[in-house]
Amino acid sequence: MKPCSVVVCGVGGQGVLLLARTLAEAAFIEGLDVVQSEIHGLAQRGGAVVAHVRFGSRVHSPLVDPYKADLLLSLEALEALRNRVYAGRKTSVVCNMLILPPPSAAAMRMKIPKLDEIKEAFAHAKLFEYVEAQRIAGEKGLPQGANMVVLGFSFGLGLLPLSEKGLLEAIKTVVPDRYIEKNIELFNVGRKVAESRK
Amino acid sequence: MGLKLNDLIASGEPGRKVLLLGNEAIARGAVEAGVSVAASYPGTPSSEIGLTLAQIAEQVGMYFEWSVNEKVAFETAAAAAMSGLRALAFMKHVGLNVAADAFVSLAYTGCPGGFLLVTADDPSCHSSQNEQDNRYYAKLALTPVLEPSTPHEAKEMTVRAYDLSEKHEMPFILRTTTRVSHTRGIVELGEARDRPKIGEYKKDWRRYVLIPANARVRRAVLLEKERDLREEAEKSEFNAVEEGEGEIGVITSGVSYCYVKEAARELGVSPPILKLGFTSPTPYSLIESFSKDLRAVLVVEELEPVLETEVRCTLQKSRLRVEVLGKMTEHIPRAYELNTGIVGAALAKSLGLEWTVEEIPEGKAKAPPRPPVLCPGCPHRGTAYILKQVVGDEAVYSGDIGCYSLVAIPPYNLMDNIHCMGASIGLANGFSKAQGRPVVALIGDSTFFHAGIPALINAVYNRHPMLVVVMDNRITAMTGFQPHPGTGMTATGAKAREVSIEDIAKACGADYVATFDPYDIDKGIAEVKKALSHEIPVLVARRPCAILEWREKRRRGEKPKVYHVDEDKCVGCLKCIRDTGCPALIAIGEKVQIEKELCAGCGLCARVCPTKAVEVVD
Repeated sequence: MKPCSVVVCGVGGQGVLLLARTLAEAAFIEGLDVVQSEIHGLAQRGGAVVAHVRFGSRVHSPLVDPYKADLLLSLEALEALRNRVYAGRKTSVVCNMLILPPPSAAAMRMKIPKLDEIKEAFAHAKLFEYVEAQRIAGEKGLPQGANMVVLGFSFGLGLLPLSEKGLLEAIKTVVPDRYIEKNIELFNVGRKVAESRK
Repeated sequence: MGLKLNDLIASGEPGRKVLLLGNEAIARGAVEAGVSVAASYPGTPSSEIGLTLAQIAEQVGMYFEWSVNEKVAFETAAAAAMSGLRALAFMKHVGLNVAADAFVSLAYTGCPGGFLLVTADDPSCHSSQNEQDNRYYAKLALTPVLEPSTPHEAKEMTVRAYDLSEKHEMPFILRTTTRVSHTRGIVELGEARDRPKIGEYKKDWRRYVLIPANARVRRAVLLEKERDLREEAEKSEFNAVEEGEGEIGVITSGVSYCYVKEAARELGVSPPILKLGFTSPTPYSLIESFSKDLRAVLVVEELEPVLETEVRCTLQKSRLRVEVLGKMTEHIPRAYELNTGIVGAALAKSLGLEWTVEEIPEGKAKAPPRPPVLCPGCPHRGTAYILKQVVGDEAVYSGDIGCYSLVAIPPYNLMDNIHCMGASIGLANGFSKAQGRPVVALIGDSTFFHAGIPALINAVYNRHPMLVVVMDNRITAMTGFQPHPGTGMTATGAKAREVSIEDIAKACGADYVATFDPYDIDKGIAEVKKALSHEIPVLVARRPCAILEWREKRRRGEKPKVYHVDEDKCVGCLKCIRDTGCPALIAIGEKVQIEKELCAGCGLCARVCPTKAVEVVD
């Protein structure tokens, strides 16, 4: 299998690294080669966070190059825009329908791009889809579970070359025990939303 | 989840494959190698080695400590190796600046027990103040260096380093970079060795007492060892030639190898590659035999052209006319970390090929910057606010390294310099002599223990007027909540004697010592005013980290106090956001709202609101 490159981004505290780890574990469970890289350090709550995951028969570089992502998964719309550099014409983008304005931007009354303007910036990409992951996760009582809705949604759209079994197994490996059931439920809701859109 | 993974690292069976972070792989390597003593001071990108060891040390019978600073960590581990035990010290790259004195001396004495120093370099300064290349330290101290490309190699090299270190009685360096330390990859577990708890220190005056007469002898021994270790590098399993086509070859080390492989695949070429893992002392013969039939070699490495210089030396020494391409020829930029694109462009240029990059026109919408900010409820926010009110912007604020460094950026702008650990008080010594503004030193609790104390003694001794504020959040927060001497807890969670910052400040001779709670703004303002009437006062702004507090409350089942904005009273002046920079405050339309999930209930926004629109939720 040729390498699949995924960039996962969002705001600190949203579960970006957990989502990236789930993808990496799923690929590993399928017997694929996998590298995942992430940046820690500084107080990341409220800061921009990004992780790269690459898997395939053989992968070397832990980083995805500009314009070379197969998939860009964003848990927040402004962060999708910040990581636009990874999106080329062959990139599919899935984005949580959520804007968290940075406090500093609000204080300076900076203009915050709107959802449709952000989508417009990805007009060159192969696909751009918003999913109401935040609303769904909130309604299901686990607002920090939007990452699993985005994962299920991407899987439902057929954007992930990974099996359902592998992904569910990965969720069980990565997520703390008491949240496993809820995370799987959110994954399934995300998948159904995707299937209803097809 | 954490437990499951840590169990695998502690006791996973040989042959099993596990997905591990580079740092976790190094921790596993220490388990397999039979390391008895490990010590460190937290620093990104090395911290997860210790976060892992802290969890598993007791289970595997290893001694692990968070030491007070890197020098003491190094010395603690060095003594274990001098006593015949296998020992590990690890730190971020700049940590070795602190430990350098001890490091060079250990190279001179050597040690009968295996000793490995892990230094985690940080190309692109993801979480550091500089981009220094610690392979220069290896040249300085004539110590051997291993450079892994992947987490699996990091583990393999950790284990092998101990055999080699014991064979040559020399400390070894494992040099990682961020993209190895913080990359997760597939690691195959190996057999774990036994781990003795107690070693034996064999007295050897000629060796361990580095007075000039002995040091001169040891210098000669060191040079002899360098010769033997070069032989070791020549035949190392970590140095290998990958046969290929063409008359342009690639010599590479560390994670750069991964970019070379990826770039070659994309270009559809297969140049001969010399992959070096045991890079120092330089394997001259290997480089010579690899290069002799080539027209040119491209050297690919992270940070400084250390290997490239060695390749040039080797070829010049062997009188080979092979062109050397790399950072010195500007095929590869010297600043910041590499990636496939950078290496691909260099490789293509060397081969006379084209490296194409897709061209995407810039989009109209731009993402506003999202700098890291102090968490909701962070006690440092209150301390910054209090200092702004009383001392104002007139003073020179000498800053330091920790979460509280974030008060250096808007909206607080409360640090005029951040240099290195302990430099807040260190530089304040000089500022008080060299310029006329009042001087304030802002330092964290862990940093105070690390390098603040000698600087404070100097201020007292040489009479350097300054206000020292220890921003004590009861933990080393930024690197992942490691305990320190002030917390009353050891790395592995045992109860420890709590070392009092106030007692230390008094013992150092500070003119005035007091403590305040940064949530209590009025008391804080009064305390700062009182302190300013003294020449060298030390104030301790004490309140536990908000994240820890929040976790504690959740564990006890308590609900934190939360605030909300009365929309009728809010006039949308945004003073709350400008003064506090709290991420729980969100401007929506002309009003401000408080994100319930984020609010930690510190109440600072309620205090600064001019229309009293912020109230506690009942």
